[in-house]
Amino acid sequence: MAKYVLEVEHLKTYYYTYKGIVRGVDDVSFKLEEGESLGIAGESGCGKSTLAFSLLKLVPPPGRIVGGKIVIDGQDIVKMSESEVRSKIRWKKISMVFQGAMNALNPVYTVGYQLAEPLIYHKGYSKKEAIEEAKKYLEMVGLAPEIVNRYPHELSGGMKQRVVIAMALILRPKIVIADEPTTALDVVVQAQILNLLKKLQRELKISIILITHDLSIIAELADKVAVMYAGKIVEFGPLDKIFLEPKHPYTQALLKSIPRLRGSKEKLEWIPGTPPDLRNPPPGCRFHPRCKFAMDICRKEPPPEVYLEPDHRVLCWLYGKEKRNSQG
Amino acid sequence: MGYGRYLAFRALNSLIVLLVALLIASLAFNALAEKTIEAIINDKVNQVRQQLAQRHVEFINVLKGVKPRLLEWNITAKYKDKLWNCYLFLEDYENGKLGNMSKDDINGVAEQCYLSYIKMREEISWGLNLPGYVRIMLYVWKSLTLDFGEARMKYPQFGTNEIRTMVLIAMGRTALLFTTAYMINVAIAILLGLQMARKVGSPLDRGVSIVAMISASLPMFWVGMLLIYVFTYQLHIYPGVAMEPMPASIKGNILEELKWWLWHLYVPILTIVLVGFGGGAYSTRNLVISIMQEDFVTTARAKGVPERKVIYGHVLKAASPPIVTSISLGFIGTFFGAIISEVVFQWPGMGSLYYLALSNADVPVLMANTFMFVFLFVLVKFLLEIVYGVLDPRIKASR
Amino acid sequence: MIRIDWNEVKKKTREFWSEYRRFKIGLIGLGLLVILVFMAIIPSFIFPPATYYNWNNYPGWEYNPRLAPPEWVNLFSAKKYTPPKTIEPIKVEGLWQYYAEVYIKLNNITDENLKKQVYEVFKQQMAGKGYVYYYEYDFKWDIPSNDLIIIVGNVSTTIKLTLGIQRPPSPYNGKLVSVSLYPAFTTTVTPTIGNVLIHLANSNQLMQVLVKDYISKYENPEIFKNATENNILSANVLSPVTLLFYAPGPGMIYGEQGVTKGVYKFNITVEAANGTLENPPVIKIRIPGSCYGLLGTDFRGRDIFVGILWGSRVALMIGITYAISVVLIGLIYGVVSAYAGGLVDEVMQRINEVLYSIPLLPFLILFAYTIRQLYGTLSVWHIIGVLIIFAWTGLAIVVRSMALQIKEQPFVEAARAIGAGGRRIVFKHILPQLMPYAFASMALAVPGAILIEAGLSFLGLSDPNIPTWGKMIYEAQNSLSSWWWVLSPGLMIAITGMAFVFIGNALDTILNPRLRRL
Repeated sequence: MAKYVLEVEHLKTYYYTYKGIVRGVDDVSFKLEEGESLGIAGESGCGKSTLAFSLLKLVPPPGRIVGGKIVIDGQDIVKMSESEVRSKIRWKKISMVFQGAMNALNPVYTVGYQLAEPLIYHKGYSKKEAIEEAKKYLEMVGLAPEIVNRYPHELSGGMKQRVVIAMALILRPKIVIADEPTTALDVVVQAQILNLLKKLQRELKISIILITHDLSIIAELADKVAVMYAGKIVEFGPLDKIFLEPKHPYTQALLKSIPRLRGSKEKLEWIPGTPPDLRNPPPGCRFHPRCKFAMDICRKEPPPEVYLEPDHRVLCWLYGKEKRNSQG
Repeated sequence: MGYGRYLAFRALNSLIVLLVALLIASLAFNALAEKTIEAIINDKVNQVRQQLAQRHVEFINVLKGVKPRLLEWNITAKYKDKLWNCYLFLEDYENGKLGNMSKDDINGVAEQCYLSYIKMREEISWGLNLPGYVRIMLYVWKSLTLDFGEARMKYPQFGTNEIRTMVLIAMGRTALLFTTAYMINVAIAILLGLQMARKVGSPLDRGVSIVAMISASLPMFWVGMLLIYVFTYQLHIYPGVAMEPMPASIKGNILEELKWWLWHLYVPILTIVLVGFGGGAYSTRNLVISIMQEDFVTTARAKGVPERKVIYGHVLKAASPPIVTSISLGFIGTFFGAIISEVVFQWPGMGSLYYLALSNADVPVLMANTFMFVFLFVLVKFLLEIVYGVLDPRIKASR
Repeated sequence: MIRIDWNEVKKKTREFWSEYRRFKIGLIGLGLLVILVFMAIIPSFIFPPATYYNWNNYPGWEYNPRLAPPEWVNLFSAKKYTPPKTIEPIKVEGLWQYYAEVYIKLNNITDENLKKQVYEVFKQQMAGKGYVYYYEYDFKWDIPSNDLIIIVGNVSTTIKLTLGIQRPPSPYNGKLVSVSLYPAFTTTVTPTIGNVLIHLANSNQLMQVLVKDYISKYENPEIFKNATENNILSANVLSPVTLLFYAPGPGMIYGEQGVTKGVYKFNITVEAANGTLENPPVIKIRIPGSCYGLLGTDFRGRDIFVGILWGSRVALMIGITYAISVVLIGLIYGVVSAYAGGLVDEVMQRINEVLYSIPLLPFLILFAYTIRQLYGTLSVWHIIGVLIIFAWTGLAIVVRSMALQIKEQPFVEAARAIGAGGRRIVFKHILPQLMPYAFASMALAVPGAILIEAGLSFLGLSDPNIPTWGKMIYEAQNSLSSWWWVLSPGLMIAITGMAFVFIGNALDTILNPRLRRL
């Protein structure tokens, strides 16, 4: 009986802007077991970051969570008050490594102080104690403990990224969201960070939710994969199934656009068109304007969620034949 | 980079600015000099003549006293012949060859000689005997050593004729009034700006933003005039001038003296604050807003830092370097406005001194005042740069 | 060749306008600007140019009251002010007619024929000797005019002019008394081209007549004695014209009985000193009044409304010239510095920094004064010129850092890779991105020039000939109670500044995405 450390049910997060309602996350559901890692893949603007912020209940205005449940370690944070979330859940049970880690560090405070803050405010450590504790975490991510006295501008990009990871781990949360942890880093550093994440995942038994547009790093780290498009999860399943037998046309196209080191040299395919405007998504299936296999019904009716296997589901009319037939 | 190097660099820069500014000012002064210094020198010569005449001095004796100096004409070609003749005249007198001249005649000639000599000395001290570029250097040097000479007329509010003292006193007074008001401004601007940024779009934010935009276009001296009209003539709760002789009855009593100053200065301070606080608040607001959208603020909140600490710790600290920069920009505008407003309140500081010097066409005072102004300005900027260096760890921390 | 895609420009403009429309502040600013431009344009059409070029000494000001509030004050004031009025004679008759009438009256001649004969005789004898003008003035206000002007036009020969005044009946001690002053005032006018203006506000002659025939008769003797002893009854201290209107009774010198309302009758007798007067010269009586126009007058009778309108032209001209020049220079300097890079950039930056750190005001004062001493006059353009020389530096620093950022962007590299030359990169890629910032800066820069000009004027360093708002405030500082004079120019400066700041603020918010998101 695996316990679910994270259960997301029919989550909806919308932004109410003066130009219209942007449906950033539009009915998303998934479950994560303890120690399991999830990779969320998709293009820019598909709602990945919104999902991440929703999980921490940090959606910036004018956005807010309008429906659904987010159950972390048995508690639905959507129903909880802000102060409760702040004191019990956020950073303690679930934390985040932000996109663009360089900017997650305040230039006017030392690295040590910023690492120490969660300990001071959540566990009541004194500043001295907290900084001592922080040194351990710096070592854990492969940095010299003396860095506690440095300012962020004195560190390289990769070092800053490690600091931010240490900062996310410092309260030993069960879930760590990593939003594009390797973008803006060069490939060598990228590999280092990935190895670090894998090591931490193993040793600390944390669930990492990896959000990225780069499928190759999902392949390195994740147990399960969710492919997001236009605010919805279009395919969800275990890593090998998704990579070896992708079912959704979008997933297939994504995979085809990755150049391979080995194997036959095929011409790279790309997905024509641009992601939809989330204020006015296309009717029916949101992917239909760019889909090779688009059918008539795709333009009219939103596709049903079809379970190809108990742990592999797709949001596509190609697999919803029964339902299609029943429409006549 | 290291704080020490940063400071040295800024100090050097300030010095260069000072010198360049002085150079430009001296160029202007040089252009004016021809016209005005002649007049000043003639005044001085008349002064000497009157002083000596009053003391019923015999010019021939006075001339004798400076006999060796008469040979210094080689500095001034203009006086060469005249002074040489005077020297010869003296020789003749001492050798008794002037028996046929009456005493009055002798003294008459001696007077002419002596006054010419004085005039020559004055011209030398003003550098009029030197070529243009050397003169300009001389003025720069005089300014740096605060050698400004004497004013042509009396400026009762400054007590003395000596320009250096006058200008220093003026500077002190201006600094007193302005610094008090400006510090109030800064405090209000930061506190208000923070509040506005936290509650963007609120009535406070919109209200103060509009007030800021309106007050940025108000001429400060005009506002001062209006306030005097309202407070003095309509409500009678202000004396109308910022400085009056303090009655002897309260001298020595610290509390009473403080009340006196407050009573006289509250309207000028109010004027400066009214016109200036909006702009400062508005730019602080903008700075804080852009900082608040930085990732590290979201991170801090996510980490569980209490909101109060986020605002006054993370945001304020990160915002302080650019706030200092915007303070120095705002300082300029407010300072200029305050200077001009001194005239309205008859506060005898640098602004009033400018006004008086301009109406009296008193060029040396004008120059000295300009120099002090530039010096004060550069000094304050330098101080602000020091503060900036302390606040921004990119400068403070050394590698 | 720089080809401009007009469709692109139109589309961008339309997009921009729909963005801009959202900001109420920006629209208010724009509206104010339109009004200001209108104000700047109209004076050319409705005022004579001499009111601008010769603002100080324009002869028309002579006709106006001094320090008079605007006429609409009467809407709010319990005591009504006298509006200005020029009175034409209701009757002009030859001097012979006048004497003829007197003769007829004295001798009780009723027979028409006889009358005609009398007329003939007198006409022959006295034709061309002179004329008599009759005027009526219906005075119905509370605060009288303190001046009365006799306007004599086109005098071809020397004439002697005599003024007679008849006050309307006024209550005094239960009776109605009518006071007649003749001669109230006499003077000689020599031949002149154009109008001769004779002001009575400081006429000791008139004062003496008043004292003798009016005040001494109706004033309280104590008060009268006191006033005489203290020399109050002199035209230097009080205006005889004001006293003329004061009602009789104790304290009349100080107006304590109020004014006498009613029809005042004036007559002016004009006699040729030598020879004859062919045609009667045009003589009018002008009552300048105690209020005037839309915005009142200043201490020299100048119409403040005229000054404000001309001033708006000056303000807009100097503001816009300054803003455009400064932004252009700063833009070019910054972009060139950023694009050139290397040593050139370093040197340009050093120079910029030194210039930037030099305080503006003392140098402006110094240069303005120097220019005035050396050239004898100081034009508002001199001031703006000096200002521009110093003011571009701040902008150049920001432009440079922006240009540097743009320069680093891949699309610039790409452009260079495909062979685009420096000029093309600067004009097609870098400058367009800077334009929005440039426009916002321009808008925000305009008020600065206007305020500086006002500040310098306040210290006495102003253009001596033309009206500017700053100069008006400067001149008003000793008459703080003339609120119409003090408020108008200051408010105009404030409103103009507001217009541009509002526009600049709206532009800024659009361009600064961090502020716009909110």
